[in-house]
Amino acid sequence: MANPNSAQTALDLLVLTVLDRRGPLHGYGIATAIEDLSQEALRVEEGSLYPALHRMEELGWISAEWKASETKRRARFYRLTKAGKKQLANESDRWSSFAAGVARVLRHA
Amino acid sequence: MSWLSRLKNALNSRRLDDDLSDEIRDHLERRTDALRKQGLDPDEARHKAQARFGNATLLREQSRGLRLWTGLEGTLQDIRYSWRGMCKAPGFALTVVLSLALAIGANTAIYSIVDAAILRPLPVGDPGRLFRLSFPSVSDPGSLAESESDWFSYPEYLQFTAAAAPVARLALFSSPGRAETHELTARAPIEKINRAYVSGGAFEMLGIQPAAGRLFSTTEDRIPQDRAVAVLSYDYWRRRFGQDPAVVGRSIAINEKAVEIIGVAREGFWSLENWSTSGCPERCTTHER
Repeated sequence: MANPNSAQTALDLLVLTVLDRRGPLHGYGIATAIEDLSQEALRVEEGSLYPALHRMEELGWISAEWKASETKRRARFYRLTKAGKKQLANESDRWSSFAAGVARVLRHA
Repeated sequence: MSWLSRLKNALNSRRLDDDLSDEIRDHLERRTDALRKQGLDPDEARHKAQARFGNATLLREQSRGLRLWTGLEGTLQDIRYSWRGMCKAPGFALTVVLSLALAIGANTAIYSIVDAAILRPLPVGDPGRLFRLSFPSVSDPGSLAESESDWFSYPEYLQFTAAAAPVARLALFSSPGRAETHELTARAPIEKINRAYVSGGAFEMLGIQPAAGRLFSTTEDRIPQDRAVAVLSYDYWRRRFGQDPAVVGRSIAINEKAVEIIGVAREGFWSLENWSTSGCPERCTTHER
C-alpha cells in the first residue's frame, strides 16, 4: 500500500469523490471534472489517471463497464462500488484532518 | 479484480490490449474535440491532447501489469510458441510424442508386472511356505521346466496328501474357466463368470478367512456329492450382490446346475493365479486332475 498521504492517495480520493457526486463517468469525464472542480489547480497528467482507475478497479473500489456514450461512441464507464464508498468515507476523514494539520502548521509556524 | 478475471485477461490479452487502446483513444478524441471547440486547429488540438495525456505506452504497460499476471501471460506465450513449433513440423512432433508415449507405456506395463508378481505378496496367510507342485513330463525325460506339468489326478492327490500327512498339507486347484450363471428365476439374465474348482481343504490350507458365511471344509470332498456348493470372491460379491450378507444360503445356477452359495472369501483373495476377479470357486467335484 502506498504512503497514505502520497499524491497517489490524493488522486484516488479525488476520483472516488467525483464518482460519488456525479455518478458513473468515463475517464475523460473524471479528468475534466477534477480540473473544473479544482479550478485547474489540480491538473494531473491525464494519462496517469488510467493506471489509478485500473488499480482501484482491481481493489474493488470501482467497477467498469463498456457503454455507448452520449455521442454513440463506446466508452468505459466507472462507477463507485460499496467498498469504494466505505473507502471514500474513511479516507476523506483522514485526509481532512491531515490537510487541516498541514494548514495549521503553515499558518502558525 | 479476482485471479479468475486475471486469468481470463491473460488468456485473452489481445482483447485487454484492445480495451486499453480503445479507452486511451476515446480519451484523446474527446480532449481533441474539446480543444477544437476552443478554437484550435485540428493538428494543434491533437498534439495538445497528446501532450496533456502523457506517455500512453508507459500507462498501457502499467495497466497491463495490474490486470494480468505477466508471468502467467509469459507461460501462455511459451505454450503457444511451442504449439506453433510443433505445427510447423508435425511429423517430427508426432514421432517425438509417440516415442515418449511408448517409452512411458512400456515402463508402466513392466512396473505393473513386477509389482504384481514380485513386490506384492501373495494374498494368502503364509506365502513363504507355499509351494506349487509339478513334475517333468514323462514323454520327455530329463528335460527342464518348460515341459513340466502340474496336473494331478484326484487319486494322485489323495495318495500325495496321505504320504505328506503330518508335515505338509495339499490342496487341488483347477485352472479357471468360463461359466454361465443366472438366478434361479424364470428368464433371469445370464452372466459370464470365471470359476475354478478347488479341493475342500484349499481355503483352510491357504489361511483364507470368510468375509461372510463359511468357506469349504474337507467334508465337501465327500463323494458322491449331495449338493453343489460355491464360494464367491469378494469383488464379485460386491459387484453383483452389493455385499448383501443374505446371499449366503441362496442358490444360483452355474452352467444350468443349481449351486448353493455357502460363503464369500475375504477381500483381496481371488486366486493364486491372475485370473479374473469374478472367480467363483466351486468345490472339487471331479475325479480327474
